[in-house]
Amino acid sequence: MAVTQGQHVEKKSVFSSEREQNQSEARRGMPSFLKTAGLALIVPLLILALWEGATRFGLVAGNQLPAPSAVVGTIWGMAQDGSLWTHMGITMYRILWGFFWGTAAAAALGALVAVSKKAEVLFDPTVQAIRAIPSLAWVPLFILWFGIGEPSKVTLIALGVFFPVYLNVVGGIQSVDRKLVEVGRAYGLSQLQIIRRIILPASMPSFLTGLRSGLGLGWMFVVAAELLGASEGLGYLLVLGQNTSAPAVILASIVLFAFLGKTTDYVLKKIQTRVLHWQDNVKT
Amino acid sequence: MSIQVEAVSRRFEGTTAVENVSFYVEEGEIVGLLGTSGCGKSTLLRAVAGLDTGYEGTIRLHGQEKRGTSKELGIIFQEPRLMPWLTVLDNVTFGLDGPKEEQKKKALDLLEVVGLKDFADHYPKQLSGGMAQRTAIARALVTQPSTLLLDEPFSALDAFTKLQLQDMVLDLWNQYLPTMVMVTHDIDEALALCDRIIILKGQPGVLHDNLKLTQPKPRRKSDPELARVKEYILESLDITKAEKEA
Repeated sequence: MAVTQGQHVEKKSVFSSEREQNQSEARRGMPSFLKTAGLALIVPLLILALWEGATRFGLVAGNQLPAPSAVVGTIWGMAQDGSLWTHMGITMYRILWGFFWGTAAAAALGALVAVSKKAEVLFDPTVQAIRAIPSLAWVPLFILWFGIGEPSKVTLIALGVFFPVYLNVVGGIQSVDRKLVEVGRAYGLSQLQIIRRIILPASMPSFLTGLRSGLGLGWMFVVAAELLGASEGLGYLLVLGQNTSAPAVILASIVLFAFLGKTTDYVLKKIQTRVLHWQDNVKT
Repeated sequence: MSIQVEAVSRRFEGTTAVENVSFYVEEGEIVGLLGTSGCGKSTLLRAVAGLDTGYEGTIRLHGQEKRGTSKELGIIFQEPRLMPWLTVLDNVTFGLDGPKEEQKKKALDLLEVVGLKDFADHYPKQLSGGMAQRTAIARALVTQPSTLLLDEPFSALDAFTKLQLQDMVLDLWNQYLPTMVMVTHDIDEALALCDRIIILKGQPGVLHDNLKLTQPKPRRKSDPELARVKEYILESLDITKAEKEA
């Protein structure tokens, strides 16, 4: 054993230079996550380049499909005259309020329905029936009730957020492992302690999944709300772009929606990984 | 504590799981509830644990009639049943009250006993099956219960881990001398650990026999006396006969 090891070391020092070089080069080169990111960027960059080229060389009409540079220019222009921040700000305000109220209502009602059989029989069929209505059908009614101001928009967004969060809260609490609850009972914990120390943490994964899909729907509904009557906001920019035949404004709004949607989801995802670090399937 | 089970029956919506079972567990005794699957061993243990209160008959702890859970009982389930969001240390302190520092000290002491001191900050997902079950044992012991109830505690473990943990339980018993009631379908396990073996049989399960073993522990697995007892148990459970027929 000692002999072969000795030989190995000697051999390595003389011959294995090629492999060592490769390894040290790999170590000196880009970290692997940068490599993945680079690979993932190839296709979008290629599309952007083709798009830019096609409009520059007049292959497509610039007044129908403005070049990416024109879209960036539009955003830049709005940033300089300050209107960008107004539009983004009001849209963020609407989604956050809607998300907050939708989540609060869904968590409260969901928790009640999940723990109490009576509450389930009482409320769940109604909630499921309302869920069957496409939420956008409420828009005219909300406008009649609350006017075209903020309350009707926030209500619509809250309604969109409500259902996925509600379903996940109910499902999460009802699927908590009875065996864990029994451990609590074996230690003589009260019902309240069992909820706080076992049911809440155990249903957290499902709740957070609900939050993320709720937020996704919230973004859909903020577009709808702003399309249907607003004088500010990213959705309003869509209407403005259409009415003034300015596709660059429309595309700018789409890009900003994508950016904000992704950013808010990223924040939730970070919270999710942090809160659920104990889960077997979340990489730590 | 002494446990008295008097004429306990348990019915689940028409089907009877256990019928009129009585036995007595002396303080400090290790008693095994042995039987083939479906004879209501676990049902009986759950009644003693107070997790199930829908039985007929009487269960007395320390001679006092009792229905419901008690702080004096520590329960070890077939599965570890650890809270996945808590570290090993926090899982062990789960049933403790009092100042945090004191809880931590007690838990660390017990983790040392079960050989998991270095894993105090790990999460259940990082543990092997045997380590998880040892954590569960530490959690059951940390409240210093006078009685341990074990529901097939080692049946999900591999043969080596199982023997190790059986030895560990015997060591713990030697140190703290708790009363233990243990459900098992493993005859060797019952023979290795128990002072008394209650044999349940049939569906619904009825008490078939109540054996007392006086050999001192730890016992040698090759003890010819134990081999004879094993033969006797196998025969009384009709297992040898069934094998011949098959």
